[in-house]
Amino acid sequence: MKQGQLGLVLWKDIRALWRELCVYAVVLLAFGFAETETRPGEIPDGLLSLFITLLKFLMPSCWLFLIARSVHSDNLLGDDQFWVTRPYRWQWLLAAKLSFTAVAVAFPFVLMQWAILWFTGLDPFAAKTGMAISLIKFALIVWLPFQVLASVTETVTAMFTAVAGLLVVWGGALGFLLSGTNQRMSPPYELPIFAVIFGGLMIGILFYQYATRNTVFSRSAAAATAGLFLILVYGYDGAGFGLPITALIRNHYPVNASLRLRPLARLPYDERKEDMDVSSRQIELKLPAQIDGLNSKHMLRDIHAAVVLQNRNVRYASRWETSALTEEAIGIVLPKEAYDQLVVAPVRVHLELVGVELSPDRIVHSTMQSSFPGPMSGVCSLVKGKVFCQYAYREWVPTQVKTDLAIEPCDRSPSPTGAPATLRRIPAGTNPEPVVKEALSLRGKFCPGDQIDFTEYKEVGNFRLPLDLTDVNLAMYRVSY
Amino acid sequence: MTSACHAIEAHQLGKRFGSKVVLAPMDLIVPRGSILALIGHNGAGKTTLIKALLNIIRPTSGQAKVLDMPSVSLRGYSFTRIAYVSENQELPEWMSVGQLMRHLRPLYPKWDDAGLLEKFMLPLDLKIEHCSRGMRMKVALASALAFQPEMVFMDEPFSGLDTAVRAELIETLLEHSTEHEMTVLISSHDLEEVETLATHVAFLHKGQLVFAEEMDDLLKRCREVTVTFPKEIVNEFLTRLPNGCVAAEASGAMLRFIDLRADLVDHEGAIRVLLPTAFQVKSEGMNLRSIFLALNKPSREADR
Repeated sequence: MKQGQLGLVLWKDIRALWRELCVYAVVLLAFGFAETETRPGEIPDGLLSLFITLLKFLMPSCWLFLIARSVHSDNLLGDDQFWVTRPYRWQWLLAAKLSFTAVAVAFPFVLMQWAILWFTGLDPFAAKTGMAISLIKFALIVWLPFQVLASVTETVTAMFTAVAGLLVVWGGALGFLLSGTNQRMSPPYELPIFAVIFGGLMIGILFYQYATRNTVFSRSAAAATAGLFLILVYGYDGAGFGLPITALIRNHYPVNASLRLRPLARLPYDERKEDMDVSSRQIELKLPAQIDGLNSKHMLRDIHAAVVLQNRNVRYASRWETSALTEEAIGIVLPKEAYDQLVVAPVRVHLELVGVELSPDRIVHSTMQSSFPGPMSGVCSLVKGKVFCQYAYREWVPTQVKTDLAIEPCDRSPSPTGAPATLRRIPAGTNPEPVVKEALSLRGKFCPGDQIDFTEYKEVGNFRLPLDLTDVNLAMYRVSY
Repeated sequence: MTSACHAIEAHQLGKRFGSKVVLAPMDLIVPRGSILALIGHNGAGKTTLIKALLNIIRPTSGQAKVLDMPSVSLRGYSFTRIAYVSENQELPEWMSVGQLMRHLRPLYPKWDDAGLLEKFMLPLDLKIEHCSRGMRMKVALASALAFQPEMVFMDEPFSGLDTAVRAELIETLLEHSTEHEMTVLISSHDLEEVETLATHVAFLHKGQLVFAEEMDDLLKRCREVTVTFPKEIVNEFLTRLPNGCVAAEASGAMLRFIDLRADLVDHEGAIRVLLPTAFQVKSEGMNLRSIFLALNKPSREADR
């Protein structure tokens, strides 16, 4: 009988909301259709773009409405609900509501994503990890919070107001907390830590609310969870926790025995230019150094650095931030105010550089034509002399692109330079469209028959490289003015 | 009487909302198989008492047992033994009567709705949202009696219903109560109907339980007394009336009051002893409605 309750309540909710589910299906179908209508390399029709934007708003609205209606159909608030004096087990009621979200909200959405991938010529199961991460993020960022809010509100209007209020307050608070941290480094295990803490807390609130219907306490717990999120974003993700985060980073990026950071005598002339995006209140410094021991076929990515600069009067310690690593210099950014205080005397520098070492894993050789195999089991196309690639989800595999021009004549103006390109990193997020569309940043115009190689890289390991310099005149290494 | 004989046992059960006492701590015992009428004016605390007993709201003091189960533990499976029917209870409006019955059937170990639906003439394909008030109450009662509960709580089931529907509901309730030895707690303003079916009665006044006893005992001990004096001297007797005599009215040479503690053995004689100058004494039985009105009279006068 217990097992039956889950199915009973789930089936009841599906029958009760069949009209709303039909509307949701139409929204998903429309989105899938519109998405497959946008071709790489073509500017989408204005009306189509507007339609897609509208559907992107309608989709979460449908989620909110469906989850709220399903939870509120066996409301936890008030004392005149039908189910309260019927032999429902709260565990099965909660399981039924979560199942409704999985079956009626998430599953059709996943089907829509698969359909888009299939129509684009991509295999949905070629990027299982990307698909899993995308779904986990949707669950944690959208569906689970909606489920919690629905369990502590009584009506769809109340829930909509709560969501809108939360977005406004959060948007403002996050903007304030994270201002000026766009170059910060995300500490290791960011997604698992946030997923475990907040997924666990939200599940805990749901369990508590369904078990006790103590809405006042559950609302307080939900508000406290939102507050804790802001604290963790500031402290953990924004590197506001200091030493523990530094210890975690050092543990995650051990000192590498085969690689070494070697200081150079002077900054080469062609390195004396800005590589980083700095504001008017910042200074970019380039410390002359190079990495020894790196296999020529390997490459490095996600380079971040923390630096301690100290003269006889002032000590400045930076947070872990993005660093521009070139062949003969390491670019770091520091506040102009700190620079002005440090530059007056010789400085002692302690720098730690962390990153990921990559080695070639798989090479995809392709001949350019209207459609050809691309990296990450994706497909590429040649449109008006430009190369566009599409691949599933947002699981990034570092890929280097190299081209080789065909001998056959064709109209090549401008002629390609043949410079290698790297597929840019697209941050994993909660975009409903599962296809990553990317124009390769290859200069010039290509023709059918040109060769293109995609070298996919895999991670070899993390590394941390320390560098200590004494009596440094910072003015010698300043590259931004 | 052992606790196994009691359907409800409440000890100092009370409920406050902040500083407002909605239910003063009270003791209440309801024997199994009885039909208890819970009466009281609006806001007396009847609904709160029922909800506290059913664990819909948490009491702030005391404890209660319903069918030997602590009231605060009533959830889930307990409600295969206990049913609740209320005028305010939400029903799944989108369902038809048949869908509701099919939805509920698997939740209970026993279920038999065929006779009830037939008796109430409820069409299976009728949507609940299209039901009249009377029909809704029939649906609610049918869905409550179909699983043959040991105890039914009914909160104002008859309010706003026409006489025919009330009679139908009462008849069905009595049949089931007798057939299945079901205990019923019913709160209602319809005192005439309640009097016909209740075996016990409890009176709540401003959150206080004034009395809870067998209906027959109440009807026996409450008598309306009319005393006629030879001349207009009745006002002086108003203050002489003992405790238990309420709603006293004097008009000319006539005094009228309600004796709540009447001893049926020569009641009129006892009154004559109390009021020796009385010319004529008449003691008459009362119905529940008259008793309720008499009990409420002092407060209504105070309210005025």
